[in-house]
Amino acid sequence: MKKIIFISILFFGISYCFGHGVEYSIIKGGVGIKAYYSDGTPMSYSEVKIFSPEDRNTEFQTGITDKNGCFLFFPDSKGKWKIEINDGMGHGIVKEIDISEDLTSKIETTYHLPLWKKILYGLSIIFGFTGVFFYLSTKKKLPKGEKNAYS
Amino acid sequence: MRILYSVIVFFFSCSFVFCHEHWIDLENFSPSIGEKTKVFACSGHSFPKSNEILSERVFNGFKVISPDNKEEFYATKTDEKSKTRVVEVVFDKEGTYVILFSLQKPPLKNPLYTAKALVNVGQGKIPKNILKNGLEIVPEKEISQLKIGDELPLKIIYDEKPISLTTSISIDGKKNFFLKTNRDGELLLKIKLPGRYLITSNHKGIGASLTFFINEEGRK
Repeated sequence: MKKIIFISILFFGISYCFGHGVEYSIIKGGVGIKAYYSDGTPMSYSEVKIFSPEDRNTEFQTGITDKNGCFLFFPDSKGKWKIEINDGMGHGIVKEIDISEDLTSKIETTYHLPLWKKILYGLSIIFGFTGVFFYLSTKKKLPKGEKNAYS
Repeated sequence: MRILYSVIVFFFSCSFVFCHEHWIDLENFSPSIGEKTKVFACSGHSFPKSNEILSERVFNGFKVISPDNKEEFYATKTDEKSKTRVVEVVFDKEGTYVILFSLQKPPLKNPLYTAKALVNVGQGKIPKNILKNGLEIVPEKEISQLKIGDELPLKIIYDEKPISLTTSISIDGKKNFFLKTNRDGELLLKIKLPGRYLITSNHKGIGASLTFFINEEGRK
């Protein structure tokens, strides 16, 4: 009998020692966002706040983006979730995303133009306006009654 | 053809002007000895008006270096009205004070931006480069002695070595232009107007700014 009492005490003693045991499981899924500046540089280590559709005042989750500007969270209900990303230096994003019944979201991206395309588009606009300007200025110089060869 | 060039230059200039900059502003850039002056940490696109309050998470506080090279650190309060972080500093010694703040995103170890301002309490000495790493704009002539018409030599230093970069210069937000340094990171800024001068530059995602003030009295 003494032995049983002794083993029982030992057993409970051990379980008390490890009172707050921690376990884990690796899980799949989640909704991710990648934030970057207009020049394509990732918005790394920026503050993130996630708000659920039910409560827009208390954050569902807070954290920071990783080195590559990425952040992942696990919504627990469908609806419009609000994401706020702020680098603390004057740049930020506020985005609402739709979470479906299966707690996933559609993949979407803002169209990011590479620098060479921006320059090309800018020059096209400049040449376009210059063309119109010179066309109009040539037209003004023609004497009354004479028509431009192209009109 | 001139119009075309003007439009192209304007187009490229705009992209620089709209860059987000951070700088130090003061209630008075030339306080008398013992005078208390407000120092502001500003951020935005429209110098000298601040558009954003810098986040506490990235703002490392003000560092004030006195003329005798003593460093003091100051915590700031936010001012919603002026959209700045603000602190009151007493300048109790004659000479040139250097005020600095840096912006650093934890867990990164080095700052992403360093703002510097020069404050003249009477006559001072030329402050040398202070930062051991990162980008710094260093004046090579005493600011308190500058008059309208003078030239201010500046040097851009990155990790304690001169670097050739384009700098943006804004005078009280009324005049904006760009100057490129030579190979040794040097440039000459002609002082044509009185007011607050903001000089900024960027390299590899790291930025620096320098603010100082040229008095109206300095007009020749």
